[in-house]
Amino acid sequence: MRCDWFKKNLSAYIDGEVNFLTRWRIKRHLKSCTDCYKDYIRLKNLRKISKIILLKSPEPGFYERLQAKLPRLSPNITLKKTGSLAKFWMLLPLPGKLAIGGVAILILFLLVIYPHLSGSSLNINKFEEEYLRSKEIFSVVEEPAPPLLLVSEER
Amino acid sequence: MRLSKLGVGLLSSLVLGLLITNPCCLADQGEEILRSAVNAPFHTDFEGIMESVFYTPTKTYTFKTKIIYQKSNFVYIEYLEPARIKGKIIIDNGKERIEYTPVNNKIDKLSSFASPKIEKIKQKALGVMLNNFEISRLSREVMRGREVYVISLNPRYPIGPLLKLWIDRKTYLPLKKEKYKPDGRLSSLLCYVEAKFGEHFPREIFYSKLPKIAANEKIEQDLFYYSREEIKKRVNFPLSFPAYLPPGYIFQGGEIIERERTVKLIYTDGLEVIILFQRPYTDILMRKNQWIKWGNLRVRFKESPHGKVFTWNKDKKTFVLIGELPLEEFVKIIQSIK
Repeated sequence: MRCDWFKKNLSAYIDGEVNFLTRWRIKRHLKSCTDCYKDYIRLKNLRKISKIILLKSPEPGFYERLQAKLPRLSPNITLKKTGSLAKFWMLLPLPGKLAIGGVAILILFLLVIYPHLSGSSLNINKFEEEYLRSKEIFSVVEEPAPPLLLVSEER
Repeated sequence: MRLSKLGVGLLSSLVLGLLITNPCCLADQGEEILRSAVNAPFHTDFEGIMESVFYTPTKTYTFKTKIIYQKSNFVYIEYLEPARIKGKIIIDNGKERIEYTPVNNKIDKLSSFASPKIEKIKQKALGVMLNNFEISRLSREVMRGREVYVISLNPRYPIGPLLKLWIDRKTYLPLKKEKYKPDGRLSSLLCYVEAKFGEHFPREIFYSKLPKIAANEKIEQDLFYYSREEIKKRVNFPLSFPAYLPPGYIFQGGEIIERERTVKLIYTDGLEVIILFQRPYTDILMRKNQWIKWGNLRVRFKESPHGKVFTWNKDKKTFVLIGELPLEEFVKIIQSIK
């Protein structure tokens, strides 16, 4: 028996779809041809694995039952709005996206970074210097400025 | 005859002795000496090196300054120690005050502290101080070969500091000062370690020590003091004032600083000064501080060589309070601010 014929009928043999005579001839060939026997084992294992995978898949009607159990979406839910925003962003050309990004960065800069650059945060030394200056003016017996620079310690 | 003359002599010596040793008389003398000492620096020719020591609970700070007074209304100050402020020069000629800071190579021009305006303020402060302190002459001593009066300023209220002054008998220049805390601990000691009287110098010598750089003019902006009502009108945010003031303290005036954004309220008892700053919310950078919590208020606090410093935020505003008082007094002030 030729191996080609065997390979042609191997799949049907494993599935049990061949007649008695063909099955007998294949059995006989398997005993005499090592290569075909190996092919037979490989295909048989493959079938086993595919059967396991098939068993893991949900039972028929599973999705229908799940759908029935899920809460129905309220018509008031603003899914449409979010969708439209996302859609708008997707449809926006690149220069538009860049412009919006630039504006966002500018706002962030004005709110977070600029206050620090423009001196919105002050060092306590400034207040201490003012205090010592006033003390020299308003206190009757204050020496001229000796302690004025004590505050510079922290600079 | 001889006996009667002797009796009169003895009696008159006794009366004179009583007058001299009478504490009331000494107190009056103390006040007179202090009045003369307030303006003495502006009418003396003097060159000296002053050592200033400030004591805090954790550290002692020592400074050395060269001070030259020239008749009339001229003051030259040069910082000698410590190294980080060495070279700073202040020249006050009665019209303007020039401050040179070598660290940033900057010259500021301010209003003179020897101007008639400041003299008026000093006189007002003197009146306040005489109400709050009992001035007494303790003794006469000799200091560096010169006769000095030792006078003491005793606080009438238990929160005030005690001050001892050594004042030169001839020129009324204070040569030494010791300040004590209400608990009796020494808080500062200022003393001339070198002193020469009668030295007169051409003023150009002092100006030549300044570098040839453009000065930052601040004369027009400073030394304007407003009343409570005036200052309320001049700022664009609602002002808060303390309802409580320590005994003896009065409101001296308000200033607007930091490009019209900070208000500085000045309170004094004639000797000590408390300043309350306030401005729209600002982040204040303050190192080495600790947190104190009074009710809902969280206050940052630090003790510096010249007093206590507090800062906190309330009603969208940032406050800074600085002064030399017991902590309990600051608590009362801060809690009373409305």
